[in-house]
Amino acid sequence: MEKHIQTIELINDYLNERLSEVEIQIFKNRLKADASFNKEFEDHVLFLEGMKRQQLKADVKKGKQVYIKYKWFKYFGFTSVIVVLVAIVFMHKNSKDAKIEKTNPVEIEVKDSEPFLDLTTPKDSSNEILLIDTSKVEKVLQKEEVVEKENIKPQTEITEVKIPEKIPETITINVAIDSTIICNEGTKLIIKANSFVDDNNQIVTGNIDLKVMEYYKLSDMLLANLSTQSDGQFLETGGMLFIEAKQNDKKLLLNENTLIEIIFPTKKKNMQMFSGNWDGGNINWNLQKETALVDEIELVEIVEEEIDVPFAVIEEVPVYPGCENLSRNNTRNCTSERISQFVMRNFNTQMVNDIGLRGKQRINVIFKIDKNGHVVDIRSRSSELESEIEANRVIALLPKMKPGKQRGRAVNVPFSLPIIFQADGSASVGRSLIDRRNRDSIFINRVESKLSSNDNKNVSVAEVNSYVLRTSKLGWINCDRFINTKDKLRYTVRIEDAQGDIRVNMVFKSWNSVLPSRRSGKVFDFKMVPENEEVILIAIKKDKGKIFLDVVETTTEENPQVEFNFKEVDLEGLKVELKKLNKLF
Amino acid sequence: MNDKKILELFKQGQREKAFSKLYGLYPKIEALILSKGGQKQDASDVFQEALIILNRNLEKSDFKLTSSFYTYIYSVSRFIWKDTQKKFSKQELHNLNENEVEHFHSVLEEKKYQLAENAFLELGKRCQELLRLFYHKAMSFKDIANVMQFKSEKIAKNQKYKCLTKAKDIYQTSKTVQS
Repeated sequence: MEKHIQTIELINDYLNERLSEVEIQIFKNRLKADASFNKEFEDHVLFLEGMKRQQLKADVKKGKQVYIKYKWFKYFGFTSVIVVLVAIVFMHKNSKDAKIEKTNPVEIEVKDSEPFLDLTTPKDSSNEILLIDTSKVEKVLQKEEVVEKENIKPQTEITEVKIPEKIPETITINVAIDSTIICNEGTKLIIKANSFVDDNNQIVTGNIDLKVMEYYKLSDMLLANLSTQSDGQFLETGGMLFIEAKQNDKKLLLNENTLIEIIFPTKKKNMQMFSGNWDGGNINWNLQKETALVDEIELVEIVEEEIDVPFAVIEEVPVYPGCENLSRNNTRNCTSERISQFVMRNFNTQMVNDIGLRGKQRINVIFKIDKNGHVVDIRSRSSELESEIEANRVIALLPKMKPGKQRGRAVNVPFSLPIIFQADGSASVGRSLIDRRNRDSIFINRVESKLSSNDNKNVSVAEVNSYVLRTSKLGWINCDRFINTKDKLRYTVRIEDAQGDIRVNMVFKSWNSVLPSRRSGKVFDFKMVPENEEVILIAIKKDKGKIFLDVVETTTEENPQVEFNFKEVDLEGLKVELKKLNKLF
Repeated sequence: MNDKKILELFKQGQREKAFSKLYGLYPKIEALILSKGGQKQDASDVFQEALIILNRNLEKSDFKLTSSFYTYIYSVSRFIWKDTQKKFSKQELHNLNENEVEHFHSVLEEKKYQLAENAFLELGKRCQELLRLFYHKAMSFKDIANVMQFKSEKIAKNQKYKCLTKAKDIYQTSKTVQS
């Protein structure tokens, strides 16, 4: 023990750089030469690193607290600005009223903000307090948004012609029982009993009306002015839905923790559920976090990849004839022993003696027991070609076995077998199982990941037929996936005769995305779009009670030269023209 | 606050400050983890782990940060999360570029240290305290004997050795159990 303590001390001195140069050199040499010392050293370093995690964690925690404090101070500054803004708007609105009233709202606002002021005083404010604050900040933020929206609305409603929205399908269901609804365009809704609540969070009984609009066709999406974007990121859509539930013309909500299962008839892969919010004339989709993809229904399952799982780690080892009906471990040992015995019995040591070998000989043999139980892929390495040939001959004689299985699937099982013998005739085969298991265990992770990836592969090869997703919200719902694009550029188009209400949307030929533009004057800005994509620009103009349309095919590039020639169309004509685009999706 | 300044903070040993700056990246990582089906607590754990890995690598003399902190932490976080979920597809492992392979290795390496940390945490309070004083506070055995009321320097020393051996034993058993 005393010696061990000294070793540890030496290692500590080395790590703390308290050794002289000569000593360091000796230390390093010893690391190279002395395996057990090396192991001791590595273990010690490992442990110290593990301990260090404690320190690091503490530092990370402190860093986090500093960050939150800092962020909160920023919020506070921001909040006060907003409170002042709200106050000003309020004052402005009331300015037409009597002047005396004007002061009151300001006072109210100030009162509202008092809790924030109070909370700043304790210096080491804990996380909890901070959290409460941010929620309040958010509320104030929302207030501000409401005010803004009110200001915007009157501007957007100048339009004289209204393009009618899709005629919704209305379905009456009885909420007392589970219902399955198949809509016109193939969407299937599975609704559990008692899923709906009213304003007061009371569970609704009796019959309710479900209003469903389905948007699978590009024309439908364009007419409804739907686009596929999530906070500036592109989405590829597998179909959008609008669902509303009403009873006696009163809007209903989904009960908390209740989900509606929706089956989308789309063939796209890796879809997720999004819910949409209208913001300034365009819809923005947000991933529904609490819901996960339930199932991808597959048409066919194909492709079984060839997988190797080493003998030492496989769940069900290959079974040598005569080793059946034993426990797992015993089967392993039995098979292993029988193979060794077989080789020992059949290996012709005489042949090796004949070629004049002397002393200890070693042949490393690797082979596989394939999915059908046959021995294949025999490879041997030794100093003498003759020994290799003899080893190959013997291994090839091994009988057919029951194949090994991993996760219930027959797989190839590599088996390595060193044959060691004294060239005077006695042969010994095999080595301890533990030894092999140690070495092979490094494979297990790789094998497992390979296996799990194989499952994935099946999914990607098989064609996905439809999607089962769950939603926790009614309203606008989209079955989408994110699209990552590279090489983006800023894309804007200019329209000269820009009087009236104009909307320009961009549709991508290579995937199902609709991108809206934002108008400022005569310029329509699509923000960042991927470069060199074939797209179709669809411009719809509404002016003085008439509808105009133009569709331009182009490729995204810097400074695009796109000219629109608006042609007057009636509502029917518009629909016909847009329907021509449906083949894109 | 740009990357250079943060790097400078690390070099000056102002780890806390550097971490607090890096926390600006947290919302993005949280969004990543949430989008992969994790909870907020998971995101916080993953981010902490990513910072630890980053710090560990920065301390290596041969380590060069080839990308921005954001890219690095994002990539490492992704691996950490995937590793906890055990979701590596073969295609992914094949398509890793050099940097990613390195990140992946860091994550796997860190797992060993986690085991060692757990071994440390399984020790008794007194053992933990003793080792902490010796290794983190770099106190001499004489001072430790004083603070922790050991009868002599020698006893403190022996005690420390016993604690260390015990921790290593725990580590070894936990390692074998895992594999």
